[in-house]
Amino acid sequence: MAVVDASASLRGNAVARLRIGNPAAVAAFVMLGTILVLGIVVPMVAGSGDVAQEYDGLLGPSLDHPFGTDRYGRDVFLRCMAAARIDIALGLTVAIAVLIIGSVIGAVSATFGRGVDAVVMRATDILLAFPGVVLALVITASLGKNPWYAAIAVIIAFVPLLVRLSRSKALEVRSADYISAARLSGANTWQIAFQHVLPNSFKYPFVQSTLVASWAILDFAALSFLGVGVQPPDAEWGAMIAEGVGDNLLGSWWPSFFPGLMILLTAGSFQVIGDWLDRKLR
Amino acid sequence: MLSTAGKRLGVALLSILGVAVLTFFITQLLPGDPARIAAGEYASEEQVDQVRAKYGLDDSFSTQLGQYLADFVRMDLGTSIRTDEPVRDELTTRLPATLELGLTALLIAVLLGVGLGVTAAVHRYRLGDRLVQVFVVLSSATAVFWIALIAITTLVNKWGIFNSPTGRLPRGFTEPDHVTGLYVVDALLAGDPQTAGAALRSLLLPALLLGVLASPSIVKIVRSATIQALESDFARTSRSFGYSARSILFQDGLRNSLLPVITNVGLVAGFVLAGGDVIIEQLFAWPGIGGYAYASLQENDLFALRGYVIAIGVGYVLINTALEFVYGWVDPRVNLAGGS
Repeated sequence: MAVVDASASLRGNAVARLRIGNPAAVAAFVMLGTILVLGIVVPMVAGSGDVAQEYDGLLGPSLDHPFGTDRYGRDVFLRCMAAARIDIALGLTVAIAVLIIGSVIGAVSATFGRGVDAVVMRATDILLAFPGVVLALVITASLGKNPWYAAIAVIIAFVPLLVRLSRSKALEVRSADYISAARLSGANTWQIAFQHVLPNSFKYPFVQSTLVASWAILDFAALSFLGVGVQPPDAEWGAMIAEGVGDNLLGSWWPSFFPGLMILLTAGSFQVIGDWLDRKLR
Repeated sequence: MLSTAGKRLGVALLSILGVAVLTFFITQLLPGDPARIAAGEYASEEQVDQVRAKYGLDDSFSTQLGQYLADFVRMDLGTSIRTDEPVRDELTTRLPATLELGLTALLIAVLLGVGLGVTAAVHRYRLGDRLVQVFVVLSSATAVFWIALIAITTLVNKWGIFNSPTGRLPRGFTEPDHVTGLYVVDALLAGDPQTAGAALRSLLLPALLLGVLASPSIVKIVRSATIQALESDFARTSRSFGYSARSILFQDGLRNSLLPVITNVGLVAGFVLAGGDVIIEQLFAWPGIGGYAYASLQENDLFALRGYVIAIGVGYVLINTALEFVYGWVDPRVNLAGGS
């Protein structure tokens, strides 16, 4: 019954419940919004400025170049903003894909039970036998070095986590009285899975998916840093840090410092939002 | 007990077989052509065909899978394209370096995680808790390669607090006689505290970086479990019996909060021994298996990379199986046969 109450009040007072009363969450939304808007507007204004080599190399941060320029004379601020578009879009895409795939498989697995459930559980067991980044690394390496493949690899790495989570929540829902009622009134198993179990267990994987967005950004940047994600000269935070390693060791800290700061601010904002949603919706 | 243990081991063996088959499917069956990737971007058709013939990639699918599984059972992980050495031997020589780094990092992560988690729980909803929360968000949103780079340029190059990132020992030291493969331990066994100290100083920074970044999940779990325990009925009973706050914290709080940590250690181990390790070993010139994976990746050595992934997958299964036994032993309520 507890599950029913929670979901009813979720729908009833959604607006009241989502009112932000938490300064950290406000800051996170503002931060993420700012980065996203700059990521869309700045590259539009600057054209192809993020890959253009039009300035002197390794100029320190100044009013003209707030984040300085890199060794090829590219403006680091422009590149960071062009990268923001890619990294945030990717984090959100991965989170949404993982949420949909994970919660559907989890709900179906829990509702059908028996053979279907056993197969799904063993499959996630095996996928979870690899640390996420390692799985993503070998998938990308086998498919070829390309950002799309890296994105698919990160999705595959995170799906089993969400399958597990939504299955365990769906199992709780499955034993509720209204499921028995639906079954008695003649609903078939697919209808029960998609009309009753999935909607009533959805909020847990939903909260988790904001954290997935944060982890996906970190993992994708790591793949690009290792050279299998976004390829130079395209701008991506992880790839930019990889390009700036040598200059950083020789004293020019800015080409690799600012992209990492962007990762920290973006991934951190998703974390704070995730924690806040977790407290709000639980 | 014996039969449940057998069942667990059976599941572990099945998972290991699954790890091997999945790795084969990923490296062999995905649309990418392993021979082309291994031969390199600018290889001619003949060169690609040569690679294909040399590694049996032109055999039928079932022949390849059969050969691969037969090799796997004999613990033969194939030959590296890059070095022409057996992958298994290269991994086993490099394993002690990774274990020394990873286990130290794991220890740091657990100590830091439990310490901060308990601190946050004791000061719950007050300033101390807030500060720990800030640490959790910052450390779980930091890219390991970025903070490592900053640490090397400031802590090492500018302020000279730690040794240069040049592997397990600074220049001028010879490695201790091989006993455990862990330099710090081996040097102490050989009665050479100077080398042990030097090895420890080289180890400290990479281990700290991995350990700190791996700790937030432990902090979260310990915090919520300890709060739950401290606000429970049994803690209230202890309080009404007049036990001191310290005694309640250790007897009621900490003991109950350590259980969920054990299940989480598996995940954390995955980060310090594999995910974060690949990057840290590369940046610190650490001669372990993570650095090997990085080098294989750069040279498109798919077979070496495959061997590394299998080793990590198998190790991960073994760690998690061992943790299940530990969990059952620590908490008698856990039913090993339940399979949940």
